[in-house]
Amino acid sequence: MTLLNLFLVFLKIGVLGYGGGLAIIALVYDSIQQFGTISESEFANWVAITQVTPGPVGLNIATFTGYGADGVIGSIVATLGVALPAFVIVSLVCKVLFKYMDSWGVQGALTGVRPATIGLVGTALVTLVKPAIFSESHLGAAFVEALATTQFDWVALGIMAASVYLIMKKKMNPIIVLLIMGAVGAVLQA
Amino acid sequence: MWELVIVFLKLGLLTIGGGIAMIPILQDVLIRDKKWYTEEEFVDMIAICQSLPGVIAINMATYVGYKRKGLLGSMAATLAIVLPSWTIIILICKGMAVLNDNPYLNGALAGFRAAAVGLIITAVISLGKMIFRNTWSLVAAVSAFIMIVFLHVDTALVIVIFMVLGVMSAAVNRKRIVRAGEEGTTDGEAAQTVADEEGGGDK
Repeated sequence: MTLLNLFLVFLKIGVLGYGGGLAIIALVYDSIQQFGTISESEFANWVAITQVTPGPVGLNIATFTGYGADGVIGSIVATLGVALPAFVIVSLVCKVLFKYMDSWGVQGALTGVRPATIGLVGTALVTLVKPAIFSESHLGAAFVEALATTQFDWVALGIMAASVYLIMKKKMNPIIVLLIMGAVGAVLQA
Repeated sequence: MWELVIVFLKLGLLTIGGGIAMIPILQDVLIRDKKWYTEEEFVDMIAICQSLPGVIAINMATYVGYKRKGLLGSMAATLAIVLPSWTIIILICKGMAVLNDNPYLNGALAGFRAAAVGLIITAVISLGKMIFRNTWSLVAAVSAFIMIVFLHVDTALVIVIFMVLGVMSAAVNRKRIVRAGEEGTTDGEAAQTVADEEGGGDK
């Protein structure tokens, strides 16, 4: 029963979770209360971990919660649940969309949404700058507040600027840049 | 097919902090390296994936996989992007507290995180270069950003608003073209036409 429930809950999150990873956190917290054992601070810890571990945040949270509720099987069920709606919806939309790609309606909608896309990416930037550049920022703390009260992490800022420079100006492969910066971080920390 | 799987395994492993950080890597692979997509197709992919519900990373994997190899491709890409992060989380859950307290690993992750912000900045810049063709697109991008970050408007609503605006301007534009009796024109640049009045809807 837990498994079915777990699947349904994450299926719902997969459908409603809009705008990717961090946007679904509140939704997840509300939805998993029925599985009982998770306190708010525990959940905050999970979110912190899922943000620093590789992989899309939404998937990581699902895996984590599923594991907490019902071990490895639970994690598989929850992860599939959160991934399935996106998979089905995008497949269906692709099937239809690719046929009508050149119609005025689809092109019109796309023309409207394209610029908004940048706005959305900018939003992701704001969310991510906080944990990466400002140390000791808390989950849910207002961005401006973080600016005013926390210590500025100059090393992180340097890594960030170097990444932009290497990718944009030096045309370096972003994957290589990530690996280099990971190594830099490891050396500096130790 | 293996190319597809390997690309998304790598993405799954290197995506930190959400699917958006995937954009520059995807861009590098899809446009520059494999030449599967043109810039326009890439921008459309991002726009469509953000317009649909669901985890963005999955949306993009499914989309790219589908476009490349149909339903089988979308399945392969989706599984490939899920696998690395699933494995890592399970390892952490399995009590790899050793890993958690390792200063080198923590340092590397901090480096990853900072670089991921850099990656998103390059995503904004390069998408901007592809999308900003006129005043309308600049205004739209800024207002979408303000609506979400400062006014806390629901992301889905913002998408719908811009979609409706786009369709409306395309419809108006289309009528105008029909009235002007221009045949064989397409409406791809509808909003652009609205923005600079007389630049007809032809590509």
